[in-house]
Amino acid sequence: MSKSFPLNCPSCSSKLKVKSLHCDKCGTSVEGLFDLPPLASLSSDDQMFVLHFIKYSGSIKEMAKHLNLSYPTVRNMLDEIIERIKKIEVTYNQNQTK
Amino acid sequence: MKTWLFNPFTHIAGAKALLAGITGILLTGILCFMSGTHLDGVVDIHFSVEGTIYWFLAEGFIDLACIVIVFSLLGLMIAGLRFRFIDLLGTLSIARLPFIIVPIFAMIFPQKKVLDYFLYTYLKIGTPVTIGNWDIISFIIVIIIMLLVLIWTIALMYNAFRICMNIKGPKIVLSFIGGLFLAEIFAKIIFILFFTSTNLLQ
Repeated sequence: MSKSFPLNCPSCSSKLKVKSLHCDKCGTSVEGLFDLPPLASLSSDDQMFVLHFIKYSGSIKEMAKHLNLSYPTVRNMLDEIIERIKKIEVTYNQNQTK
Repeated sequence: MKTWLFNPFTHIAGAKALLAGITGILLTGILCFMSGTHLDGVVDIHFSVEGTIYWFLAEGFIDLACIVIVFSLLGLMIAGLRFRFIDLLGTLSIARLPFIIVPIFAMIFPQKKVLDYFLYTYLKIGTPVTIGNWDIISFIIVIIIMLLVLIWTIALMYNAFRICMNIKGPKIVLSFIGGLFLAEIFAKIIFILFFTSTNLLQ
């Protein structure tokens, strides 16, 4: 069963941060408080869209064909992801300067 | 089902939509000629047998041209160069497809007798005509169909405009209403100029 990556706190809905990272091979653990990088902060659907977009060389036309959607629909989806990334970047940059 | 009826543009736009739309407009023009249905405005339907087939065919394309010109200019104002003209042209031509239903119903339920009755009763034009219950029922059926087709067409045109511009909120609603109003006026002016300067009527 594949587990979905949680982005928000199930209790208060705030953005979750990374507290520890672990190496499966040697067992090393790193602890701290890390912000998720902007792309990882996107929902899994948005991340899949971005992956496909890169795979199709950034061609909206090819994406539309692959997703069986019209060109303006795919372009609108992309515009919405761009807006979400912009918002995430603002929060990310604010956290970095703290 | 609801998506395909009111927002097929999620799946179809551009050249494919344009081809389907133009085929539909041509078919509608032929059926309108056969049934005496005039689409002489962006959201206008009238019944009259006057006119040649060229007139009936031209009406559909003039309507489309008026809508596309007005909504393209509006699009440039509210969305800049972000939209593709071919998408707007294709989706708006598909949005005219419901009009094909009206001439089909007008052939099943001919309206000439009822219209002659109204012309004589209210304008004293023509000769006296008596109509029966069935004529009134068929008239009501066609009126209801016309209203449903107009609502469907407007919903499709709105979704076409919205999806091509990708603008949300009151801005898109207000510009659509304004655009529809302007396109209707524009179409009426074109029809007056076009049909008074050509002999397509004869």
